[in-house]
Amino acid sequence: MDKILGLRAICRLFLGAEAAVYLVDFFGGKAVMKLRLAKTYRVPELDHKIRSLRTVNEARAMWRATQSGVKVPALLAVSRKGAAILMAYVDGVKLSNVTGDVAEQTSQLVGESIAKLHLGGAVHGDSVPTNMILSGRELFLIDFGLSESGYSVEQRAVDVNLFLRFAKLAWETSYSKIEAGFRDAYLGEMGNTDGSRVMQRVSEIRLRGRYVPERKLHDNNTEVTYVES
Amino acid sequence: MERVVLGIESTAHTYGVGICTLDGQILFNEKSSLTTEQGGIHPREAARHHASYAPDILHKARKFITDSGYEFAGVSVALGPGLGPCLRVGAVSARALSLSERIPLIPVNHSIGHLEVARKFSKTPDPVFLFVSGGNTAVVMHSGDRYHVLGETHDMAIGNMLDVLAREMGFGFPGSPRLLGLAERGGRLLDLPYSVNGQDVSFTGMLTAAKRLLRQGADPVDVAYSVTETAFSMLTEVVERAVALSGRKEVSLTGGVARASNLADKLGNMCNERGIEFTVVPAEYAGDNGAMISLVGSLLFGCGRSVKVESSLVKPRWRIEDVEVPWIKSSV
Repeated sequence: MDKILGLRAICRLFLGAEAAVYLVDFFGGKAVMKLRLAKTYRVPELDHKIRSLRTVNEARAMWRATQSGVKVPALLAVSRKGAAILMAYVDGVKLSNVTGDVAEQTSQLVGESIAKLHLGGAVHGDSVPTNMILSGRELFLIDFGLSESGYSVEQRAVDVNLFLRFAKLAWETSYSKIEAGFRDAYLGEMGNTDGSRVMQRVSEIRLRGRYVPERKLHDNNTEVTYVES
Repeated sequence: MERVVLGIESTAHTYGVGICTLDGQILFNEKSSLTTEQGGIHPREAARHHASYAPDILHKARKFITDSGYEFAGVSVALGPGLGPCLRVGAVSARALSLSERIPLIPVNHSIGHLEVARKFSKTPDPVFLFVSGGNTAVVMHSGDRYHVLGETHDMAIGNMLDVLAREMGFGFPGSPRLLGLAERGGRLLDLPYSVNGQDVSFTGMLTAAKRLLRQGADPVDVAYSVTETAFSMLTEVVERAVALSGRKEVSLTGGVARASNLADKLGNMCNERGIEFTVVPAEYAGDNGAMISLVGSLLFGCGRSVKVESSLVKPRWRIEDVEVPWIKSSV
């Protein structure tokens, strides 16, 4: 395979929506290179702006997460111009690929990690199960490309809502236990007052979608009842 | 004698009637839409428009059925989501037909209409849909027994945002086509908020910034170009994320804003790069229309679903996820 920014690529691990992730040879060891790809659907000036901003933002966010006690791959190098981040390789399985049972056992760990990140003054911004790696008994958060700093209930609730929404889609039958595990750990880490405020906002965010009947009291909230013909 | 379902659409600015055979062949699609010289759509004015055009269109549709020798199997109507006063006009005409012809009344969710008519023209049975119109902006796919919203707008719909901006520029309703025309002549990108929030998007910040640029004397051509470039890039990005997550092999673009060729180009580019299919709903079925309501009506009829006239209440708020979709046998 080709060289990427001077390093020999071993294989492509993942082609995501906005980036390609390669396993590279780093002085005889394994490392991971994340390259933000140019998108032809965006005009070049907008495309370059978004890619380099997100690269720098992601690297900063990863470092900040480490300081909050959240496990993330160790940061090795960053290129603004190349829109690339070089980081340590984490051996494990993506949370999106585990069974409902494993997800249930891991839900506490997820709640704890997200809460630690939030307490440290940041939000992940894309907290879907695909962006979590289960490595042994440790949970690593990856892809901080949409991460932001802030302490607001709103930002935190968006994180929580994203995880729970995708958990429901992926593990519908185990969802209630996953949600309970997540909630316990999140509230435990954040403290009841702040944690409950976030969970309350999560239900409000769900009501914000288009045409949610609960939002309007005077609406006709009854289900459409069909008759057999 | 072949049996047909007549479908009535009246959720917003358009009163439309469509006719569809039970195996989903669209035979008839007539509509009338409210337009304005300036300003937007007032729900009461739209309802008045519908009430005055409904008899003519319905008469034409019934004549088509009798003249062509079809048998009237059922009447379907979009009971929501939409503007209350407008929905009631469609509901009243559908109830009357159901009672006078003694045929089942079939309740249809308007959004499912947009999705199903696009699926009829798609290359794979389960694409990721981008549903964009004056009232909706959602990334949708079918899974289990219904459609799920994977991402949506947190505030305004894209079509609504474009129409409001066009109104600021002095265009009447619908202003989006005029705005898109202006955008085609532009080439200077102004700085606007790019708000992608996970799988969701937000457009109010962009609208505020664009209005401010206009007030500060920016060229409307540049503003139109920058708004459409930025907004359509945001939409393409969230669709790409949904495709990457779901592994679906096709993107289908539907809804009134599907006629924006710049948006279709961007999505087509993205799909091409990922090696997946891309389809756009045909222009005559992009905006609100009765054909799509008759299509879903025929699908529901096939599953034996109908509603009693006395319980056929309109549902101004009726989410996509609340509707069971019994006609798709899905494994995912």
